[in-house]
Amino acid sequence: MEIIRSENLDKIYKDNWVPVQALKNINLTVKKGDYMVIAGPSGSGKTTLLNLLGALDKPTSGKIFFEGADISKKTVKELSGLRLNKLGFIFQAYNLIPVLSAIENIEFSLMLLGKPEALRRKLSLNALRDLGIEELANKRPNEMSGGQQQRVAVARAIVNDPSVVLADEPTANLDTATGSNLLDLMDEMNRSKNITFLFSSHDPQVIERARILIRLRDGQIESVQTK
Amino acid sequence: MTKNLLINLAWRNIWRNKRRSAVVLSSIIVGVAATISMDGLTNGMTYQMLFNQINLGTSHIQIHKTGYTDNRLVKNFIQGELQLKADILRLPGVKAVSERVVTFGLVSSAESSAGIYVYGVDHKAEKRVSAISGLIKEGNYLSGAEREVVVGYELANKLNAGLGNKIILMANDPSGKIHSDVFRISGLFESFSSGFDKSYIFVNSDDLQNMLGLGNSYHELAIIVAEPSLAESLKSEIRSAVGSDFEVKTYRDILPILVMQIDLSRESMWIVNMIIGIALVFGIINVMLMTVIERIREFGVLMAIGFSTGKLFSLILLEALIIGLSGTIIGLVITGLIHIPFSYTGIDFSWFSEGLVSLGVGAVIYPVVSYQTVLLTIIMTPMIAVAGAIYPAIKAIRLQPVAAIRHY
Amino acid sequence: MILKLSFIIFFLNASSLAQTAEEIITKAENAIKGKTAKGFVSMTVKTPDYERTLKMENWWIGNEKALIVIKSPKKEAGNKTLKIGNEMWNYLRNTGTTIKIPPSMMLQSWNGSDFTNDDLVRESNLNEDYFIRLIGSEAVEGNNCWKIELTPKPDAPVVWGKLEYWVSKQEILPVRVNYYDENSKLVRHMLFSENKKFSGRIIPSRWMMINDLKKDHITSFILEDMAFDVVISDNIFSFRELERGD
Repeated sequence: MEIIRSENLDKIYKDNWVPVQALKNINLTVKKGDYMVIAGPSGSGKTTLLNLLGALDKPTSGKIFFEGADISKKTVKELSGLRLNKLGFIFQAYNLIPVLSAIENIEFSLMLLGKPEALRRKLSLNALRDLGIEELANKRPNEMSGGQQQRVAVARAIVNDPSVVLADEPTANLDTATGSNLLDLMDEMNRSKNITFLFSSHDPQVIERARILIRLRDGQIESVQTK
Repeated sequence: MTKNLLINLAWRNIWRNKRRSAVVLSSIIVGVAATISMDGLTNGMTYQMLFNQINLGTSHIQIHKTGYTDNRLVKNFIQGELQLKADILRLPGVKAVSERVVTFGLVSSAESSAGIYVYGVDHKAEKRVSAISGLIKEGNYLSGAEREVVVGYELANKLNAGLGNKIILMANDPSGKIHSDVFRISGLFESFSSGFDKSYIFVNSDDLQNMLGLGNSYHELAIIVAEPSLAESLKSEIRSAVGSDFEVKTYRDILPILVMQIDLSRESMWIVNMIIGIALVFGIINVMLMTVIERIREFGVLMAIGFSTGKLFSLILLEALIIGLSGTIIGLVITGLIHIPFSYTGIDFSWFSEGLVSLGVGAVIYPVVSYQTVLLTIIMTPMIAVAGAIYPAIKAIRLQPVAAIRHY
Repeated sequence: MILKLSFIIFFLNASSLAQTAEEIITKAENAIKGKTAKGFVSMTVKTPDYERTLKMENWWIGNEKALIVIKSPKKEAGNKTLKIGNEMWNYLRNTGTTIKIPPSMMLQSWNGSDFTNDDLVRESNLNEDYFIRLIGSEAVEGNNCWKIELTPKPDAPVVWGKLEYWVSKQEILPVRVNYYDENSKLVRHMLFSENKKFSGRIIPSRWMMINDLKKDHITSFILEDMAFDVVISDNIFSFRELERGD
């Protein structure tokens, strides 16, 4: 089942009034259950692409279909709703809201969705358990290690059962072992719960786990490998 | 983290940087305290001025023969046979009426002399109309005995005369002839106004009427009503009762400068309050901008996970509102704690300025806080706090989530 | 012995002339005022800051009416003061205006002197306003004098607490008057000296008013030429006369 599809996606930035072609003619499709990695050296446009696919940014031209609907024309508010309902995000670092505890961070988007308290609790606790970090429930982000914070971020990303989880270099700030553990967990989620993951990364650990690997260079798709 | 997401989040954000919140909080507390104390002092001062003037003799309503105010001549008297006093006392709302013989004259002692206003009064009626009898510091108020005179300390000092000493009063009769008569000082008063103490003296009306050949005529009817606010409505009632031969004026007509001054000081309070408000707004803009800039990345994440711009905007305003509300409440409590004892004991400014006495205020000011000001402060201060957060909030919602997340 | 003698002399003197204190005062006052009077007087006002002299011509009918015309200095020459009863008008030559002196100005200094307008106006009928009592004999400035005490009657509109009046026994003329306030503080005193003969009458020609509260404030009058009990036309004391520029 197709979740995201892009058609002839172009993105041009204006950097000091000089136009920079960040992405050029990107066509790709993300399907349910995919574990896809967009790889490439820095400046290749991988994060830009992830932001476009994650409805965080708008393309200069071309179309993005999310579950069949064109989102390139949607308003800021509609995109915000889409992100809330359908997407999960994991960023490099500082994913969490500092004034909230781990479980509150996880509950947060459920609250925004207006889910009842009992359900929120249950889902959040499940997510914590899935990631093996129940003991962190009442800790605040500044009381956790980087790896623990990223695990909570993963729990938050998946708690709402999103169509796709977008992870922008999730291991960039972690040491290899911690990164590996985190990736193992996401791998496990993908396999056991059929959660769709879309990464952007140049971390070999991420790349070697990819089941679909898209290599970008200078804003264009260089190669697509399926393992 | 249950009831209201935004309030909860805002509350926790406030506690996040305690020092900064404390700074904003205290500036709001100071603002509230300043606004209310200033209002209390200004009101206290102006009410006192007005109250003192009314008590010193202006009373609430005065009646004169038409033309008297323009030309305070002895011959502009009201004939005693008209029995105006009895007619006016019958009107509902009138508490006391005093007939006064008023003229300008000259008092002299062996050593000095001074121009003064002489009030010839019936001591019983006058006691209910003016407060002079209560201001006697030495000797006694008029008792009705012959040739008594009550003078202010300042005047007595100038004349170098004391209790029991005689002074000579000289004044024109209605035909313009000069008469002089001897009076003995029976009492010395001290009011809140040195100007008054220097230039008003009080004698029994019989003595002054005899001296000036006035019979039972007088110049002024001073009226005290149950409530100062009744003065205006009673004025027209009295006017229709006494007819056009007489001028009827309320204290507002008689003390236009003081009334204007009171209005003016109220208005200038607005300016002061506005300045305090503007200072607060800028303080809050400054602090809220800093919190926004510090939290750009956090806002980026919030927006990325679907926290709408509307909610973000509300969150920032809410943080300001909570600080504004708490500051207002704490400020009110502190001001109240300071103000309430002072409203009974008064604040003694005599160490600060002799000038207040000559202004007719009195050196001790009893602050009077108007409920309008309190209400306004309660409403306006949090609004000002919110207003100060609007610009930073706009800044926050203009952030692009992508750029915000990548902000270092 | 001497004491006894003098007492007898005094006794004889007093009894033989059978004069009461009231009579002495009346005599002394009448001597220097007369029923009518006219003449030239110079007034010198001396203060620590300045000294100036005014020369004036004046007409009096008792204490009832008076006209005073200033003759010099030039700046003030032609200014006039008219008194009728207890009212008073000033005519200013420069502006040609007449001002009635209001009560408020009554106690202001008359032409810068130690006299007030009121001093000029007041009908100081000593017999009417004071209890008069002979309290003894004293020598003042070489004159053997009666010392007379004048205490204001309770209702008399006079500012003084007490007057002491010395009258020379020989000429029955005033020699000195002390003015006290109610606390018996000396406020001012007046000295009469240099007796001269004017139209057959001997009277003091120098009258000095000395302010005892303000140091060195002295006003002295020198009678240069006086005529008493002459006929003075009532027309003199009129506004027409007042406003007639010379």
